[in-house]
Amino acid sequence: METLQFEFEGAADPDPAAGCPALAGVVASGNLEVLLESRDLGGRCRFDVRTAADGFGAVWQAVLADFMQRHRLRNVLGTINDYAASPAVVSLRLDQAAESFAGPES
Amino acid sequence: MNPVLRRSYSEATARQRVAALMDPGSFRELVPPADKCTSPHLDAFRVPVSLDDGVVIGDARAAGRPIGLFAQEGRFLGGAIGEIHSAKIVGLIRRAIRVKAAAVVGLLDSGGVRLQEANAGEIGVSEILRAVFDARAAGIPVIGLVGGASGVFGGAGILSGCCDVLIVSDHGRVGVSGPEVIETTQGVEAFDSRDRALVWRTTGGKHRYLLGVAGMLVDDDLDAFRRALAETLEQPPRPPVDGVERGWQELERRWNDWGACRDAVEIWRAMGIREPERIPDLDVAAVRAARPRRGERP
Amino acid sequence: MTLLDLLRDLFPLGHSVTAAGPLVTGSARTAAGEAAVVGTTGSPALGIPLLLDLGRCYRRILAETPARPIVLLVDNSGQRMGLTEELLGLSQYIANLLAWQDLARRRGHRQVAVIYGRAVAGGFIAFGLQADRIAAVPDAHVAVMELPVVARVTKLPMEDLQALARTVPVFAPGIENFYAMGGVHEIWRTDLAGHLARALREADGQDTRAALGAARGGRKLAAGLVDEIVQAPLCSNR
Repeated sequence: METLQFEFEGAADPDPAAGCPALAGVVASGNLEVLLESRDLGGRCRFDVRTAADGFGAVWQAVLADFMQRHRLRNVLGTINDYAASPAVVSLRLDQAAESFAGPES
Repeated sequence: MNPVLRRSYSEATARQRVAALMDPGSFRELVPPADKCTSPHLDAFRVPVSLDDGVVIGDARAAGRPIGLFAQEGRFLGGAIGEIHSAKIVGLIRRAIRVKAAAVVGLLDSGGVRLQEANAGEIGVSEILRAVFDARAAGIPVIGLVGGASGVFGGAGILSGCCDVLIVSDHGRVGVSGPEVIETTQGVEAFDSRDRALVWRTTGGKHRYLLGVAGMLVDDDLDAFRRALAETLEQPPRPPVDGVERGWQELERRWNDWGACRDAVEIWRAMGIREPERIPDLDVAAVRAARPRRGERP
Repeated sequence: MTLLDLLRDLFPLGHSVTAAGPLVTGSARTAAGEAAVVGTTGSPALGIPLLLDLGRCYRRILAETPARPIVLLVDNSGQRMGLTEELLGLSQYIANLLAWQDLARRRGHRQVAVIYGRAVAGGFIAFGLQADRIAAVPDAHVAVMELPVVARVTKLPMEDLQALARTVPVFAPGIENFYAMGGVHEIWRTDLAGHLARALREADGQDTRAALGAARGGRKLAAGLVDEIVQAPLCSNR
């Protein structure tokens, strides 16, 4: 098991957010859960990752950086519990959580 | 939350089942994922945690009535029950008693006690059972739904037996010892755990319905479960005053009549069902029609 | 502890308890009055006939001796794990025995369980864990699953599990662990009769095991979480 943390600059003009925490995914083998919450992080975004697959720090960095490119987020805390999901599944759950986080108007 | 709604109950996640079965917008989750109430015991076993520890609880309305709801996530560690998971369910049931809910509804999907927290899970299951009996004594029916990939086994199987009524799908399974355990104790000739047809004949929803372990049998479909739940809430089960005695007598009769049977087909034949070997191939409606009415014996 | 030694130490004032195969029945005089006694001996697996027999005992006790306290003598090796049990719906047989115990409680029968042999998994849930007070003698054995099987299922090495077992009460077999977690109320080392009389007098219908587990430090989170959930305010649009 590994605990990782990643921080990014938040978007200057973030997408509107519903304000409620948003959850996607389930902690099953090959899957993960992602929780996105509003948090005052001085404009930044942070991801706390707990993963059952050790040694993939660089992959997490790349996947999360791509995610931050796809969505304009600011002051968001992401909490991830991962059970050895592939990068594609990680991206999928991140996008699903972001869609939920944006709210029903999205 | 904006879940992707799928028709299959067994393929849906616990949260998707909650969204599909409860009145729209009525669910208020308690101890939500944002509370980060995770198990402190799993790290030592190198196993990941889940923010809801595998069970979603809260207040909701179903068929217009206020209920206490818990829904197990069968895909997180097989829905297995540990300290936090069991405390959430105990709390939910005790809360339902305090607020005088119309019912407790449990979407059961669990292999039983979580090994990594075995003692906490075992005591926790026992505390859940105490709470279930308290709710029932307070006039609050406890309704169990079974149709997920894990089914209900071990302590969760026992919990299912303590519900006022069980609604199961043909995909669901109800038992105490799982198929691998039976194979280990009795040998693969007596029971091959990889024989799916055998496993479902022995513990699957159709057999449980015909046997009287489950009160209702539905298709593996979210809408079907929702309708069955609504029907049950509209006419809640009221256990008779001598319910325990009657239950004991029926169980004694079942043992006397069918204790020597080696396979479910023998039991179905002995019940007077014609062409019992066809039961696994029949659709749910046909199986419902085939069940002998109470009191009828060949 | 053997059944004979247990009966001698629990009931010095006299008893009429006998064993027929694995089933133990009878009555006994205690300092808290006459008590019904029901249980098992020989560490049997609890299968359907034995579960029906235990239910039959409860049936008789409730019908013939209203509000009489019941002493449960616990010694089993879990539920019977077999095809017949599953085919006939073992879950319902266990649930019916639990329903008898609940009915007894509602009708004013105080129930004290004494684990004197083994108490295992589903057998313990079915008979023992539902009592108002759960006591054990020091050489009793309580387990959900033995360590070698835990090792096989979790794929962790035995040495790791044994090390964990020494410091973490949450998963390993043993009376002391269950005591620390509130699963066993009391361990009776001497004066069993005195302890039994007191337990029979003190037993009430409340399930206080979560609070016990918190106070003893073996299960720190459950009690507080239950309270939080029970007390949380309702939403106004209910």
